Amino acid sequence: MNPKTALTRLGAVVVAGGLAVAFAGGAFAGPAFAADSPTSTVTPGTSNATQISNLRQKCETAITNRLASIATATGAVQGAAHLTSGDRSTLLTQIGNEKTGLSALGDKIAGDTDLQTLRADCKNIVAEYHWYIIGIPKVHLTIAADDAAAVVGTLQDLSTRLQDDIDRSQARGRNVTQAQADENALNAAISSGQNAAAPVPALVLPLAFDNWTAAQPVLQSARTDLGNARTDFSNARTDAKKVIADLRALIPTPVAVTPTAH
Amino acid sequence: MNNSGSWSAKVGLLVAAGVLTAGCTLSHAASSPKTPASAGPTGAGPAASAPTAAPTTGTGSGEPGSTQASPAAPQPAATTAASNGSGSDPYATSQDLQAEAQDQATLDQALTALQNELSTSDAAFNGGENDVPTN
Repeated sequence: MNPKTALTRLGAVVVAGGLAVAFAGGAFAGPAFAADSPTSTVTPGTSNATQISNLRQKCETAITNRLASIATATGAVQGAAHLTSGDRSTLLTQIGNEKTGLSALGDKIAGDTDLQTLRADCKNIVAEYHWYIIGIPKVHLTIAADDAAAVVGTLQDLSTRLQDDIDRSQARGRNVTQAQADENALNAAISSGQNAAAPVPALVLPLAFDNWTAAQPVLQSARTDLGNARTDFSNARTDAKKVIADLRALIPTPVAVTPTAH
Repeated sequence: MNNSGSWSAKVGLLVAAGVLTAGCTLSHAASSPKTPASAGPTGAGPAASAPTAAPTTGTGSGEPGSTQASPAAPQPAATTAASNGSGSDPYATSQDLQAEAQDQATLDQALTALQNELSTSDAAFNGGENDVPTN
């Protein structure tokens, strides 16, 4: 066995166990990792040729499924409205490399005639490419981070206009204390969300597909940060609603005034 | 004491009378434009003498301080304090607030899209890679 692969598997088993404990109720409950799955135990009495055929079929299906998923992800990256051009380009290059590598591995598997070689190649579908547990999270966390940047822009624009509304109300002599407090909370939530989400692309994009041990904590952290950012944005949205309600409450109801003698 | 007290009292009365008079005048002038729509073309009495700096009042379209060309197209009031001194612009921010409120829908969509990306990532991450035989 490739020492790197063995280490990767060992690390994955340890990490997956830790994740299951630490994040049992969270979004990232932790992958059910392939290293734990004795899915190709040899049935006694089965001929070598049959074993090879059965294993090859499973491995080819695994590659076919990954290539289909890669095609879907490629479409997602191409269609993501808020991806920066740099992030889009990086993701498409990395996805393309995954596709090329897995396709070549599939060709090799199709030609394997030795059970031991076939098994090693099948393991590499996971060990060298980690499409599901590194590739897909990397793609969608990056898209989410760039979505977050767009949300920040929208919220900042909204905040600027609300501050203008507050200033105008204050200029009319209205008491804008509560509105300003909610506006300040809005701005704090925007900043918090921005700070959480902005670093994510630079953290996840460099992750190597063949090093789950290194990738896992980074992906986990990025996911947590983006979840927190989304919560911040949701809070900011609520704060903006409060500011609007505060200002609306300050608008006097028009009343017909009857001239009075003074 | 007596003299000074007497003068003080007189001065106080004069000041108070002045304040009351001014207050009455200002109050009257300030309150009149609060009903620009109802005052309209016929409400030229007290409103016409309102001490506002707004150059364009009396269109009857509801937005003193604005420069609307047509009553059918009311505009948000100018943001300068000069047009605000009379408090005659009760709807100054309502249109803006409506626009701001509409931004909430955009935000909802953006937040939903963000959540969808996170959910897709979660599903892949948690799903693992069990489809590959490893033994």
